[in-house]
Amino acid sequence: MHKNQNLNNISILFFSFVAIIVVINLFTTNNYGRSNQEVVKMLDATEYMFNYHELHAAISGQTDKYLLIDLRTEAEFEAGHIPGAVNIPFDELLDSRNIRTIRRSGEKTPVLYAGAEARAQTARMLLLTKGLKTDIRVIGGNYDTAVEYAIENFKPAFAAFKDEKARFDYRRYMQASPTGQPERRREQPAGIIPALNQQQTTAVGGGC
Amino acid sequence: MAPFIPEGLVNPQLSLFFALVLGIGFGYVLEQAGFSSSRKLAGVFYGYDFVVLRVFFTAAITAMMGLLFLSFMGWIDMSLVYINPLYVWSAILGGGIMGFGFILGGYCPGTSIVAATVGKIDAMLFLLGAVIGIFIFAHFFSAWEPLFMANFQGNPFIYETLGMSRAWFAFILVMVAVIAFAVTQKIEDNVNETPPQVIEQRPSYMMPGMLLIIAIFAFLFLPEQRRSNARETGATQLHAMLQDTKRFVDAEEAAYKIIHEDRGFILIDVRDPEEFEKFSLPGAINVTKEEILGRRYRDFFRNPPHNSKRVFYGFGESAAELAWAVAARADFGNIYVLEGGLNGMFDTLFNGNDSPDDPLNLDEEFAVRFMTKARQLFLEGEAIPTEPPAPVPIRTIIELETPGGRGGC
Repeated sequence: MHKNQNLNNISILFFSFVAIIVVINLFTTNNYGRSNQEVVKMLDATEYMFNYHELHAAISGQTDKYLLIDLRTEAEFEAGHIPGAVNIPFDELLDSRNIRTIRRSGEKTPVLYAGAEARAQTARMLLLTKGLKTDIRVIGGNYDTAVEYAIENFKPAFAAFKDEKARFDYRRYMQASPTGQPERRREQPAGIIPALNQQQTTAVGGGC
Repeated sequence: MAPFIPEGLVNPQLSLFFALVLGIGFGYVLEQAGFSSSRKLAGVFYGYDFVVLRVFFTAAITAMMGLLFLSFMGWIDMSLVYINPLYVWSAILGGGIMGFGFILGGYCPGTSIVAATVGKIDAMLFLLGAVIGIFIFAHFFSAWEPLFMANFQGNPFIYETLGMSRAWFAFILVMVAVIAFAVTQKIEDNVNETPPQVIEQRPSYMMPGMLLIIAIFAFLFLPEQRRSNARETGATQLHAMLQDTKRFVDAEEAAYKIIHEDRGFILIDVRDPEEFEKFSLPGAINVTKEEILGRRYRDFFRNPPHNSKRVFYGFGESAAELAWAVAARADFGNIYVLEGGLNGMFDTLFNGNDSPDDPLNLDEEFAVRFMTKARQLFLEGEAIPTEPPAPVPIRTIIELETPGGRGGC
């Protein structure tokens, strides 16, 4: 008795087609270790700013829990660096040997610093996107401020020095409106219709 | 017509026409599959014909596995998929009434129309009953409204309610479906007393069933979504872009664009809303880095007009740089960072020189003159936008979502 084999052939064809798509797609990755959404959630999930108190304690030899990483260029590193730091230039951050160094830091927490805080912050983010451990910290300010306030003359008042702080009374300098109050607040950008999210959809579900 | 209308390939006003075409096609398939016979539906309840059950189970698991697959590949945004809201009491009561009607009439709303179209009198009566039911429901709606809207649960997923993962729920459902296919076939054969020769003649469903189980088994071990999708900028490229300084907009340019109310120059404040309320640059909008990938600003970032600049700023540079990196990875175009942030900009503007160091250098002379003028304008409040930018209507998926009525068969 000869049975119809079409069904088997078609199903094998279909599922292998899907499997091939998945395999091809797996090999054309963008070599990230975490999705963008995950990284965004992670960025502020932990207290990652490394303040000058901790830095001061770390270099005074009271603790060796940290692996200090200097992200500036080799020349700048040679000219002077925080004691105990290793040099991983930002441009070579994602090289496999540097990734390995950070991976193998074991119990030690990597602490990043650079010529500008933004550099160290983006470096941390890049390492998070690569799927490295979440406990990576960043020294506030830049190399110069760190040396000045944490090493040369340690001032507890400057301990929480960082980039993201208001340094001006902005409204004194820039009148946003004649009354001194900003006129337009949290406005929709051009191109997005204001009533977009408020639109009500009536709940009428069909179905058989 | 999901991909065509939002992309502007099809006029939205034609959507009713496409609904008609799709509806006729659907009705034709139902009729050809024999669904215009009330015996098909009633057969499920009496055990001689389970085609309806198999069809709907097949449709459900096909759609489910398709969605799992598309969401795994990052080709579909699950947050945009419509989920029927759950009103517990109306769901239970409505389900009961519908089920009773199915047994009694032998049709479901879709098949009754198909059957009425091919001239079945019982289906026409069934439709008449449905219309009367709708009329009574609508006429006395205020009487049932409290019950109809009672116990609203939002748009829950079954697997969330049961506290299991999406993949496990899908796996269990597929197993149930496969077992149901086999068992209902057996019941059918017993009730109909099908001769053994006929059963032997049937094609074997072993292979498709096994492949289905293997496929759903694979989903148990795959993550819900791939860590990156093809649309994103690669890690190496992102790293290279971060080494480049093309993304920076300096204080002079920003001041110039603010004073001249350049509509293509949109400042994006990435600080917390509280800080934004206290002070923001004229004309800025507030989008924190958590909101960048959100649905609200999807269209804004995905389709930047030519020659426009979206400039991120924070107090310093760090927050803006992080926001920029998030947006750059998502491959949003025309994005920039305000060099030095607010602090850097104010430093350049208000702590700069009043007179050029070298009086013979014209460039420097002009720069200083511009700065002096800009400083004065900002101090006097001249930089207030005179009118808000006119919103450019762009059609979005959300807007085009038909209100209500999503039907089954």
